Amino acid sequence: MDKILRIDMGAEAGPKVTEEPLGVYAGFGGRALTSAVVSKEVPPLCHPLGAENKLVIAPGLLSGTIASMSGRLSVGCKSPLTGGIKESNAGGQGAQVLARMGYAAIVLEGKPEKDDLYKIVINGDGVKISVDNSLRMLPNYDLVDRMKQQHGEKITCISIGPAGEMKMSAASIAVTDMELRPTRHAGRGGVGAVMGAKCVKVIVLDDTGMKMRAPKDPEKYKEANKRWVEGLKKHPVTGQGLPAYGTNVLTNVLNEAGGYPTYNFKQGRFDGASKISGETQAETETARGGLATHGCHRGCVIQCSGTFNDKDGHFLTKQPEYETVWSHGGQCGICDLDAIAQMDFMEDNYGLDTIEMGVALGVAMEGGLLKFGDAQGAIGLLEEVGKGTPVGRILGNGAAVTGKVFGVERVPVVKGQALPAYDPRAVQGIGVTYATSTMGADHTAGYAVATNILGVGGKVDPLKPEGQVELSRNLQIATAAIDATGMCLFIAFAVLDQPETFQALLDLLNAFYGLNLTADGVVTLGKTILTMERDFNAKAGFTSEHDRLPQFFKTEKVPPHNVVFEVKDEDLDKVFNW
Amino acid sequence: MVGAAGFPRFLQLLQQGIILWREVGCSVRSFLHDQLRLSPQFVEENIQTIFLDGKPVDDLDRARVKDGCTIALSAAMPGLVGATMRRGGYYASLRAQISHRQEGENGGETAKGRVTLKLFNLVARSLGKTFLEGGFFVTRKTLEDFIRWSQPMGDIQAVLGGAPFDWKAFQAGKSADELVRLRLKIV
Ligand code: SF4
Repeated sequence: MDKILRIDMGAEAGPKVTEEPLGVYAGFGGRALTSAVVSKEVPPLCHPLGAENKLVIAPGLLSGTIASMSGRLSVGCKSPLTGGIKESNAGGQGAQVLARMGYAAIVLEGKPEKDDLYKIVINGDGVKISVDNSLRMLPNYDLVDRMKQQHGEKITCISIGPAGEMKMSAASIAVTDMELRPTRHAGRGGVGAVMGAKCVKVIVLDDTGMKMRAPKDPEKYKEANKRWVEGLKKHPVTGQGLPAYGTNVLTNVLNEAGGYPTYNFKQGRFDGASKISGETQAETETARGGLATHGCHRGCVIQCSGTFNDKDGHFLTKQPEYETVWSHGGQCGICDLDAIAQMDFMEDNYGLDTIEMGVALGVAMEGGLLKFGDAQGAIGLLEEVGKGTPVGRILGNGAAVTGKVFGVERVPVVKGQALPAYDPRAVQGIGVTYATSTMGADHTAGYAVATNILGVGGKVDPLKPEGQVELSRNLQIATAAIDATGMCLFIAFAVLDQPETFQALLDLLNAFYGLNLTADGVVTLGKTILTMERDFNAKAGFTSEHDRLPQFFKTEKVPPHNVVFEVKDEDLDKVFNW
Repeated sequence: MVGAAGFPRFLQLLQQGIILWREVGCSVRSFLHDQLRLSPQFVEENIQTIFLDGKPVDDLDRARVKDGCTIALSAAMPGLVGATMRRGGYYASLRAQISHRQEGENGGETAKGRVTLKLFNLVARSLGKTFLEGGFFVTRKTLEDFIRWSQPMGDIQAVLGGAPFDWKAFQAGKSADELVRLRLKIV
């Protein structure tokens, strides 16, 4: 993983391929690498869909090795949704395969003059780029079937659906899973639209004959991985809770806490929550012959995913995540798991971010386009998005655009990006992260619950807003660093409670690269990433005014606790003081 | 009566909450140990997240169970917010505005009272059978919703007051809030 593959899609004689060593980007992987390339090479004021923007696809530092959980693939660019820097990551096979092929990143640059659609095939023979307009407007599942017919079953696909081709701001980039299904998505920020603007429909990877990446110290690496896996397996969250129920296990808990945004953030509890909870979902999956415990890529020991079959026992979609179930469930007042699974499938197929789309549907419901709870109406609107009708294009450009078009005041977005499934009035600390993240409202931006182990920050007074600001800062630093490793963020729970498991992670990095990294080094890496991202956003025109939640969170009390967001603006402005 | 395969469906009732009559006025810890008969070790190791009337509890000795209250029990949860909800957890401050405010350790008299108990995730898996087989109350509305939701009933056989269950007679002219006593027999 010592080279960068650059493809200039706008070269005069057609797409031009160059390979170069990592150079100034040595030591970076995943989000660190995507954000470094974007902040150094993309003009912050460029149009996100223009030739000057770049799409960077990078596996993490430990991807392609035997290290368990190391399969996150980062995708970076200037976001058409937020107008700022973006890193969106996905599971699936992409990171492992790309890393084994020796690539630290693929960078798509420029823009073709004509609107031909391209297919890029990368295998042991090199890189082949061809025009294939027969792929136009193919949904992801059909596209992958076509690729299987053409290139066999041993491939991995990174692709866009019709939404990406139509350059919608909610368009995702799909990555195939172990079963060669396009179920894993770099969903947030409209990265699929940038791939669409580069006129690339699919990147087909075939790593046949390529070996695992070799660590500097293989024995130490093997031993550290053993401790790593043991740590993950013995922890109740990573060893039991997540495998049994997946992330949707949070529905009942958030609902009980009154922090489950319902009817477009009008209330914090949803009457139908138990009908769509992780417990009910797992029971339904098992009863229909699906799987409640499954990995999204080889080498995952937590296995938070699963397969959701329809009533006749046929595969419908992968197990919908908590965020997806919420955005189409509580947010839209829908308590029908089958309808939610159907929408999850449609969004994977059209290539759309499930959070952005669910929130946009809820905003459209508030705007009177359809009634809350109307599952069939919501499915009908998604069909319009896939077809690109005028209403479909409005929704496909996200919650902010939808709110503007339908005259809705309560539009839950920060920097243009829809809020995820936790009401920031009930859990104010996460509101700080939503407001200040470089990515727009993003729960995963402050997800790495490992700050105590990392030793970042000092003493926090639980009852003061400064405490929440400080915790959010430390969480964002820790998360940025983990995003660079290629590790799935769900490792954080085992790392939080078990210092020896955190040490195993450090030992993996050190044994692989021959380093002497300590917790301090991890903190420095996290700060470096955030600093690059903040600088880019500042040059793109972002000020402290953009680090705010929408006004209604400060003025509308959310039942049942009847609280508003109380963290002061001047405290939000301190998040990045270090 | 329900076959082993049909039993997990009844965990839905535990998610929505079953009603129990127990001694109240005591601390949450005492309620879990003495009224629900959960061992201290089970509570310590398996119940990391507790809500009292929707408020995350941090100190089990300084939260009091009152007549009419709702208690929800959960294992440790994933995600930042999952960690945030944990009792006494490192990230508890992130939800300070909704946390259960501590009460005095010594309350007043205890007396029989109504408690709605919700069991989620791994806690429901571990304890669900005991509570459902032991007998409990639900509102008529909850039961009606459950019956509608669990169609087709498959291997579930229902008996009401010794006679086969009659859905129409059950619904006729009754209040939605009326309590119905249920006991599950797993065969
Ligand atoms: S824990 Fe879940 S998201 Fe993470 S790698 Fe495994 S299946 Fe994928």
